[in-house]
Amino acid sequence: MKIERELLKGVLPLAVLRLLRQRAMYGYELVEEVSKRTDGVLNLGQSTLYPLLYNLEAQGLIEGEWNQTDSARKRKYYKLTDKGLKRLERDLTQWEALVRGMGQLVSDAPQARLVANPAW
Amino acid sequence: MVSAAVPGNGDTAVETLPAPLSGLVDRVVRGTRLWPSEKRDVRAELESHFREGLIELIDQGLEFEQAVKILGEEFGDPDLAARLIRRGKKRGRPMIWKVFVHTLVVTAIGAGGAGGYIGWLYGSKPNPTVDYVEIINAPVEAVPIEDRAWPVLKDVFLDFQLMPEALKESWKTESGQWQPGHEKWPLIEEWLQANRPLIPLIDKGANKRTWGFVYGTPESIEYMIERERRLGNEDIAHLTQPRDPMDPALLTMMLPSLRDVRGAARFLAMDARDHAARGDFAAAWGSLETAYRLGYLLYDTQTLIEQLVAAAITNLATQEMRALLYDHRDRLTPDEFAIVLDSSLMSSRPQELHWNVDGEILMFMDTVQYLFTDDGQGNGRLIPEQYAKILGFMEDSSDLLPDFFGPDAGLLAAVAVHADRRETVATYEEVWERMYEYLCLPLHDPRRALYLEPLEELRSDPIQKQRYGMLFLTLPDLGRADQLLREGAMNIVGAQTVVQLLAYRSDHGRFPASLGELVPTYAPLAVRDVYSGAPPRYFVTDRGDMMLYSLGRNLRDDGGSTEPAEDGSADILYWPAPRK
Repeated sequence: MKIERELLKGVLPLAVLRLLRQRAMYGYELVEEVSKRTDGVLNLGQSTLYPLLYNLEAQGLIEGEWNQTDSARKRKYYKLTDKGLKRLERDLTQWEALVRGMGQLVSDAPQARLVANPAW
Repeated sequence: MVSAAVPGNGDTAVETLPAPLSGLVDRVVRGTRLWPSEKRDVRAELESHFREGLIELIDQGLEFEQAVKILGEEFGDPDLAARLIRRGKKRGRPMIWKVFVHTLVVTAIGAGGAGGYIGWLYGSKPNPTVDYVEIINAPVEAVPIEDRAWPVLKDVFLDFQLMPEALKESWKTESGQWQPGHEKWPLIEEWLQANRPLIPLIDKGANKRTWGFVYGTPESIEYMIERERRLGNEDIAHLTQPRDPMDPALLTMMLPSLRDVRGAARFLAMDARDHAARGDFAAAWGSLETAYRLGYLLYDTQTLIEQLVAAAITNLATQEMRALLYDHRDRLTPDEFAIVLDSSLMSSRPQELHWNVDGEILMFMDTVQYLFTDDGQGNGRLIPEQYAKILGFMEDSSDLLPDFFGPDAGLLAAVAVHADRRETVATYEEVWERMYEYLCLPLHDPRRALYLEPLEELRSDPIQKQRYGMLFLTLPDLGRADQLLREGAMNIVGAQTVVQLLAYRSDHGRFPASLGELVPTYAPLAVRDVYSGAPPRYFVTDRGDMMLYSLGRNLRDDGGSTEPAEDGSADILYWPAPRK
């Protein structure tokens, strides 16, 4: 299922921050994890991943660090900062409220419309 | 996970990215237009990304080429990626850089704004809509041309020889002594001979009803060019240049009539002395009469400079008349005295002379329409280019420019603080009205001294001085002009009174005991001293002669002494009138 870009806009940073709370990850890994953990609903386009990471880094919410793997390949790992953690907690609270509200709205919608227009 | 089963050695195989992916990285990195260090970082991360992807996909069993294709397709739009990466990376730049960029932007906006403002100011053009030349000429042209003096005189003056330089230089200090027999008289005689054939025509012009000079016409320039050509002056480039249509017409108009009419008056004064020395009183008086009439005609003009020349000429003529009468005081024949009594000196009414400032006001209004923009409602802003031009015309311009950053910036600053068109005109009218009110008071009224107060109020404040700089540039010295014109009128009154006193003596064999005895037979009204408001000082001496003088500007009776006091003022002696 393809989600509209506008709907994704606010969700993707939250998803990245949420994943990084678990552990530090590098770019490709983040793409794969987001897709896997959301059953492909949130498909983080690779061309949008890096701008997103650089934005979060610029805000001081995450920080990147180059590390070498066992096979001598270099990867840039991103981890959550304290500021990022606080932001994540705040955003998650808001997100939960939003999900609740939207859930109610979606389930109440037909009834509300009936009341508003009895002829319908 | 990363020990991928790539063809050959997996890790080694992806050390160098395949061309499609490295090309993609190149395109994205190039498109970011970031700093080199930032580009290196982005490149390293993207290359790492693709390497990990290749290993992962090959681990999952995909062929190398398939993996390359999938990664390339899944990456998305490289140009959009480049733009977004650039935005993200720039956001992460150091604070000092951001401050620098913001400062730069603010400075650029400020400079752009200032540039725009200057461009706006300098791009302005005047839009003169009123023909003030036509307005100032209306009263001149209302008189039939045959009643105007200038059309006759301009042809005469084209042939008039100027006073030799050697005489001109010493005119002020020596001319009182120039008589036949004086060492310089041969030079004067030569000058008189050259110009004498013109006297009948000068006299014809002087007998016209009005002066009749039409202001601001191309004929003025043509006259000046022809005049200079006949005088042998080749330096006429300043006259032949086409007139800048953006120059205020009235402020820059030429008054070629003035130099020549003044020269003609001096010539007539010398001619009179020559006739007097030869014993021909009638011819001498006739020449002085012509000079007097020339001056009197000039009073009926609209610019102060013309009226001041008028006063200078009538001053010279009446002074020469009094001296001539003094020389002949005991030997005037009845016929000669009849000529004097019948002359235009005696029929003129100096008490009715009033200065005419119409031309000055029109000149100001005309200058305004060349100096300001015009929105059709009386509003407009000062135009720097035009203001600089006016400053260039004026001698005392420099102290009006604030010398903060040099003349150009000073001009800009002056223009920036200068009042707009409506305010300038309103202040001019107010200042003029207040000054005029004071100047209408008699010369002896101490309140006259306050006439400069409105201007001083503006001048004392440096900002106001800049705001109304144009007023200081265009307002004539009204007080000085008024005083000189009143003195001119008083000199005429003095000469008339001398003639009336001589007429009284001719009839009674003695001078009257007081000036009051002249009224009404010899003088229609009791004469007043313009300075004191009282009758001029008059008394009969022990030897039967009389003394008549004015107290002068200091209102102090110095016994008729014409030696200037410390304040430069002295009594003005009308009789006795020996040559200096």
